[in-house]
Amino acid sequence: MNYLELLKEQFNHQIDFRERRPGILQLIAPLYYEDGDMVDIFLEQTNGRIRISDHGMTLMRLSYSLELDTPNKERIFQKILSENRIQEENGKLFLETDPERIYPAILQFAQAVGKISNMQLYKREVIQSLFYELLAEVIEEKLKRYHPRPSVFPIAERDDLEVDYLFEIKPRPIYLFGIKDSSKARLATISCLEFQRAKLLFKSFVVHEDFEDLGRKDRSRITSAADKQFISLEDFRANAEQVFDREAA
Amino acid sequence: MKEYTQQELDDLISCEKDICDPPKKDMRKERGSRRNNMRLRGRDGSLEFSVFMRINEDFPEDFSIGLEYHPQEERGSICLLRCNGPHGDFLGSPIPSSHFHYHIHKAKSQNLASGLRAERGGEVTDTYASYDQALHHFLRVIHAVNAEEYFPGLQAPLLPFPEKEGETQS
Repeated sequence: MNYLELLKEQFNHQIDFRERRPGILQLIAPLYYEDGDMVDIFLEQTNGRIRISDHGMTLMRLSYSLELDTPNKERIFQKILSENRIQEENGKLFLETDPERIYPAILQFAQAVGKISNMQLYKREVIQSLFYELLAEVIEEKLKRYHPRPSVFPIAERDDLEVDYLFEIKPRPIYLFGIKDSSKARLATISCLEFQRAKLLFKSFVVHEDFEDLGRKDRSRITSAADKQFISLEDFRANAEQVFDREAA
Repeated sequence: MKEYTQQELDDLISCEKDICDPPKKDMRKERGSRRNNMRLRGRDGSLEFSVFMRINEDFPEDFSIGLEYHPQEERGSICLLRCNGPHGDFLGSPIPSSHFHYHIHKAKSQNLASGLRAERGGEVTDTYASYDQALHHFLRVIHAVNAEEYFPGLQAPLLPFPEKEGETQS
């Protein structure tokens, strides 16, 4: 029995093969991407071994929504490859196996392709939502002793002016805003100015996801309105305690 | 996520768009495929879209040209339309399928309502039989008004845009 017949039997005859090029067979198997396209798996025989390959289709498909353009994404990609014993040559993923081991090898290959395809979930616009969760974690971890109160409206009749966290520090409470984009930067700026106009006694602190990501005018406005800014979550994580300690001293 | 009616999705596909961030003159080779991208804006300026163009290096018949919609009010994007080459089987392909088909994925409201990818499932098409023809068809269907500036080779058949019933249904 050759390896193709063996594979058909192992897949309970639910698969087929199509010759895409001389010596290159495409596996037709009930393995699908989330958009309904079949996972691209090709089989080639080389020196008595079988090469299971995607001929570059996995990274091509990933690039519809995500480019591997940062060291972090590349690191995650390489980790998925190494943990699944997959190799890469110019974007083409492959795994070589003995003919009698092809069934588990194909399942492993398909699983790795699925993991790589799911890297689209790491898109910045998707994971941006984690910023507020991470900010909450840092506050819980580092500033709990200052009794943070989330979601406070300092002017009772203005439910449009919200402070993300209030810290009851004397002599002046701290109003803290998390800012991940320009629209939140503008809202925080307006809020600070309105609180000042209402002659509230407070200090305004801002934690940016990435200060440099804001437009020039947004940076100028928030810098003018806020008393203290942390340019990133890392900056806040590293320095929040000593800044709050000084405020409370 | 906002709920979309099929009409809203169809309107997003067919509304007139301007290419605001044009594609590179030549596709770049990168990790096994040739790639190009561009960004488009709805003519009223409030809608944002991107287009990806990909051709596999080993199998040039395996290509994909897709339109992504980037809603301002929420994160992520929705794939509205993808014109694909005959790269393999897909949910929606004829059964039994004797050979691979050119096919189109189009966003469906029932997919989104079910929590699935908008463009899940494809439909066989005979509208095109090559990448260039697919690109021509795609640009016409998405109403990229200034496409002729950036795709001169495709200029002649692109305009005027015919108002055929079910243009995006192929």
